[in-house]
Amino acid sequence: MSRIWFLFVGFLLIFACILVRLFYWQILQGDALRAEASAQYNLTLSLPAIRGTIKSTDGSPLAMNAQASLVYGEPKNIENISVFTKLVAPILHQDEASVSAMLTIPGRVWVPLAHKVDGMVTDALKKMNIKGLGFEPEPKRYYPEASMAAQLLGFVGLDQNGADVGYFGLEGYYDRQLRGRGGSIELQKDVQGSAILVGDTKRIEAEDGRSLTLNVDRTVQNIAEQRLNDGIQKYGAKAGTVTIMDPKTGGVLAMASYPSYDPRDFAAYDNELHKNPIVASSYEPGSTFKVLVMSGAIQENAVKADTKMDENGPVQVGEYAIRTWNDQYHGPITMTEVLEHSSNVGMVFVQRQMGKNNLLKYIHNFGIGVPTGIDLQEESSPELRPDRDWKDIDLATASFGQGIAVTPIQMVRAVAAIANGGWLMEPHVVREITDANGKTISINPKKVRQVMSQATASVMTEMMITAVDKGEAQWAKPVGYRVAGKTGTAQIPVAGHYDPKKTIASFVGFAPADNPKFVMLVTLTEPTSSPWGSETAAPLFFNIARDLFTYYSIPATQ
Amino acid sequence: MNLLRSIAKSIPMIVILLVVVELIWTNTLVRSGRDVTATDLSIAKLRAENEDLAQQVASASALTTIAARAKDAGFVSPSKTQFVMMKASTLPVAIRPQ
Repeated sequence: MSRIWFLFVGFLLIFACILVRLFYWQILQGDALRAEASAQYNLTLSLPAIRGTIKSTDGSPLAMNAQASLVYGEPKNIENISVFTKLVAPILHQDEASVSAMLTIPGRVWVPLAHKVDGMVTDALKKMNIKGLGFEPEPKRYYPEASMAAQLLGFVGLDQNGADVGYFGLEGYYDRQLRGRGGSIELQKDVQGSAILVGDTKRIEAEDGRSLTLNVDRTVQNIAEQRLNDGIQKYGAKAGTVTIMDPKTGGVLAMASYPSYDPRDFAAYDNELHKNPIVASSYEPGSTFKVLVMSGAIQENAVKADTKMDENGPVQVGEYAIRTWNDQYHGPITMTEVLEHSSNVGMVFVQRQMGKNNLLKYIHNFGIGVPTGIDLQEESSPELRPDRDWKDIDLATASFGQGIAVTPIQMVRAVAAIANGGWLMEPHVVREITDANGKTISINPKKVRQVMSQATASVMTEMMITAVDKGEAQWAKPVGYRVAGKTGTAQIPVAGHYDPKKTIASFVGFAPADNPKFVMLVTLTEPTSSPWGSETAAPLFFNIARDLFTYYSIPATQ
Repeated sequence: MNLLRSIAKSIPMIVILLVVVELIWTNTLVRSGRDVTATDLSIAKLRAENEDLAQQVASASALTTIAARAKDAGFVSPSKTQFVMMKASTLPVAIRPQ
């Protein structure tokens, strides 16, 4: 009897062991074993999405994809790590010690050595037929026009998982559209690794990134960059920008800035250079701001073009005396002449005529103090002080563009409203977005608000034409063309006071004035040949305008 | 009864036939799988070639390339260009040399 019980207990123990083992395999290790089994008969292929192309308005690519490779090492297959390192590291421009260190980390079977390696380099490595060295396709960005519009385009870097991601500019703003969505195929394979067609297949199609067609014209961009570089050298400026926009649509035709960087080697440049100063940096606009204040005053009937004021000396605002830029005074002058002479005293008169509330209303209506909504990632806006905090001296200095900061894109958009019958537009760099199937979404021009009437815009245009024809920069103007514009020379605030020797020279305007094809802002930071906008930024503006007249085949009318 | 016997006798033949059909079919499928793999590789290769060619076209038509070639060919930028508007009635004509 005891033997039967002994046998029974023995069987129970055996069954218990079997149950425990089955529990371990099926429940605890079930997922891992299923995955291991699946790996033996399933083949998973990733279908990478191709990043979209960025094209200029004529369809020429500004940023596209090029063949490149991820170069990796497989330590288990490497015969001699020392020899391997000596052969591979110099070709990949890497330090031998760090390559060797990566390959000798225990337990590593796959070591990425270099990302996005050019075809010529991989061809050279492939010819050497080195054991344990492998390659995987890894497309990289290619810029046919080299560093053209670098700060506008942005660049593609890697995120913390090693995946491509766009930073700054268009690459950053439209990253999700450009990136697309990767897909995969999972199917059953035979012993040789070929697909078995009757097996289970799961396919998730990749969705290639969308392509962007810009309002930017590469010829205009090239003109702006070439001329800006020439201007920087000629006038000895530290930095500069050129922004060209179609005033009727808000489409950005060109954005050039100096200094810039090469997007192929973005990591070698200071991070600050990655930001586009036209949308991310602010400056005090100086006298160019006068056209905005004057148009508000005319719209509110506070002054007319022929209203006269007596410019007989400095004007007192509280404890401060406001002077003209050259400390010369012209007696009774009209509002048109206030712009011609760029009179700060005259602008204080205009500001007093229109009052605090109207001045602030137009500053807000012109979009100063808020981002313009342009489709560039790093756009920011300097904040305006709250309306209740504006003191008399703040209002007076703002009337001639000091003590108030704007970004170049805010300034050029505000002046574009004068060129566009008073309508403020939302600036846009991208004109169309096209998906992989060819379906195109057009980005239509967007009107934000009408800041002034058509009549006021016409009066302002005439005043700006006179300011060019009779102002300090008349010598540089192209003969026979009606150009509306205004010079600006703003002092730079440094540690709580204005540096008398450092200026930002600028010129903003549009042409042909009667049917504007472009509105343009030129800024030069700390020009050394002359601090004045009329002697630096204005001639640069007119040089670019001459090229644009030729490019657009615009004839002289006078 | 005779019918059932003859069916029973033919079963081995049917089984052998089905096995042969299965073998041929499987063999065909395996070959098709290889063809599909080869086609996939070929598509990938053509895509890569296409990308390379697009890159070459973009490089060749880049403004910097065109400007360099124009300079090599002796072209220079015009110093000053003026556009003149003319009505049909005032079309210029060549003047006979005096």
